[in-house]
Amino acid sequence: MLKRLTPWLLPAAILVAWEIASRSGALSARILPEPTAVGAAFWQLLRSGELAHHVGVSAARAFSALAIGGGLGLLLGLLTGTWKQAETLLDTTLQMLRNIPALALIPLVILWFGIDEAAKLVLVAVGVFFPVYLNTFHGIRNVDRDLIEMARSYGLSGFQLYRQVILPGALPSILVGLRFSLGLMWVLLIVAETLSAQAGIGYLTMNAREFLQTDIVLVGILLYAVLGKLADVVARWLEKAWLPWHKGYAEQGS
Amino acid sequence: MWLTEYDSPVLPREPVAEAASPARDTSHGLALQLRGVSKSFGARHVLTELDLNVAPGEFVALVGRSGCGKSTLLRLIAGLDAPTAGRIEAGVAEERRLMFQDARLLPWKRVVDNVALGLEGRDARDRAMEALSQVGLAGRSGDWPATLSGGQRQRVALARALVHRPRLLLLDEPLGALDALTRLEMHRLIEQLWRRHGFTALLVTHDVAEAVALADRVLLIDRGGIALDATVALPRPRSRTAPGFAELEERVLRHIVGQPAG
Repeated sequence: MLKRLTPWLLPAAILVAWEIASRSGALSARILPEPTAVGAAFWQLLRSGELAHHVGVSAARAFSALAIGGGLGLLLGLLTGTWKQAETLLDTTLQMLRNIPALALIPLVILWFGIDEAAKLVLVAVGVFFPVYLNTFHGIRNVDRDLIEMARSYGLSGFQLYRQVILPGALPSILVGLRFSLGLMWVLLIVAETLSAQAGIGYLTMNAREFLQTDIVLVGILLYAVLGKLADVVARWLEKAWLPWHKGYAEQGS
Repeated sequence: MWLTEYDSPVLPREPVAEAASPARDTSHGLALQLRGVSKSFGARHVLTELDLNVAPGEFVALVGRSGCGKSTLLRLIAGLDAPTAGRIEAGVAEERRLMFQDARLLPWKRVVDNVALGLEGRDARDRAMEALSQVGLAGRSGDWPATLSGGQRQRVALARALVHRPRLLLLDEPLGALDALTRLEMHRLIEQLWRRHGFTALLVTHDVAEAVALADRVLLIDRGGIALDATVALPRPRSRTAPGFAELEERVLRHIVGQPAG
């Protein structure tokens, strides 16, 4: 029991010290409001329905961008991984583009798409494209040649070989790519929403900053942390559900 | 019989009368014919002008030093590689099945689905289950391959090969990585299934005792050709202590090290 509590001692102590410092006036509420104030702000936003609205808008943005960028990455990764010609044609170009940080595209994206929804979608989609693409490509390429040879000698070819051997063999790597993308997705969304937005967590925090509502700013920051963690939990759950055979994810027993 | 106490939990004990009877239906087996087969990898000639005839239902073992080309020969017969020259008559692909050095089970398919790989039709699963029970693993049908031992994996691989009712079974050192007791158990299993199904069997091995225990003929591959073709006339199932066993093993070994004494 004591062993399980020990890791939480330091965070609890910091919270208490923070609370005391804020209440005594040593720490200005403008710089950092006390934890209870942040909690109160959170509760108020939750009750007014504002929180659900902004989180909903942000999540919809994030996941539609993931669907577009990740979907394209998966498709192109499968293509270049499977057909040598597609790799020759596309891979060099994609490898060059990969080295451009997605955030460096911000000026161009604003020029092309303005500061509307489209700009945010493009920015996040471009960012999440590459992890999925690269890991899909390598996953397909690294499927055990011996297994493919075996399957061929047992009469599998074409779509059957793809469905029963190549795709399942590449799936662990594809999911690693997805997990990377999920992490990246929130980071890019924060930047995109901070630039300009009429709704979403970014809007909530930037708006609160204008009015010096540091407690709401903190709520926004914590929300991003929670959503990031949630995305990671979902990715782990997918790995467990789709890779039950995998040693790394298999549950005890069988 | 050797080590029957280890065999019995896995295999139904074969009645001795049946084991001793020489009448065995070999009509299902495939006749194998190789004429002037050569294989080179660049400048390296692995097999040169090799001729070989195997009768339907015969059990032939290929032995030799590592790198002598015995596995290459098996891959040629399996159709995995093409010979540089010569002609191989070994039926069509569906009539041949190959067991690899490693079991090569698909880790993402449960044991029974691994056995059913490449099978079609409604009864695929039933046939796979039947093959699994023939190798004594019906109870593990729903497990993932990762949970099996090395010997169990090779037994699943054997079931996967046999479920297609092959007329020619090619075994590429499938027991090389197994411990001694598991090997003996597998010998009995392979021999029993070979007797029951009547297929032609071609076993590549570096273990001369294994070759003598299982095969009708032991072929020594050396310098790209067949250096020795020894018929094993010992009654089955064979015991390592049977008269003639050790002499034959010794003879083949002497040939391998290159001093065939008279």
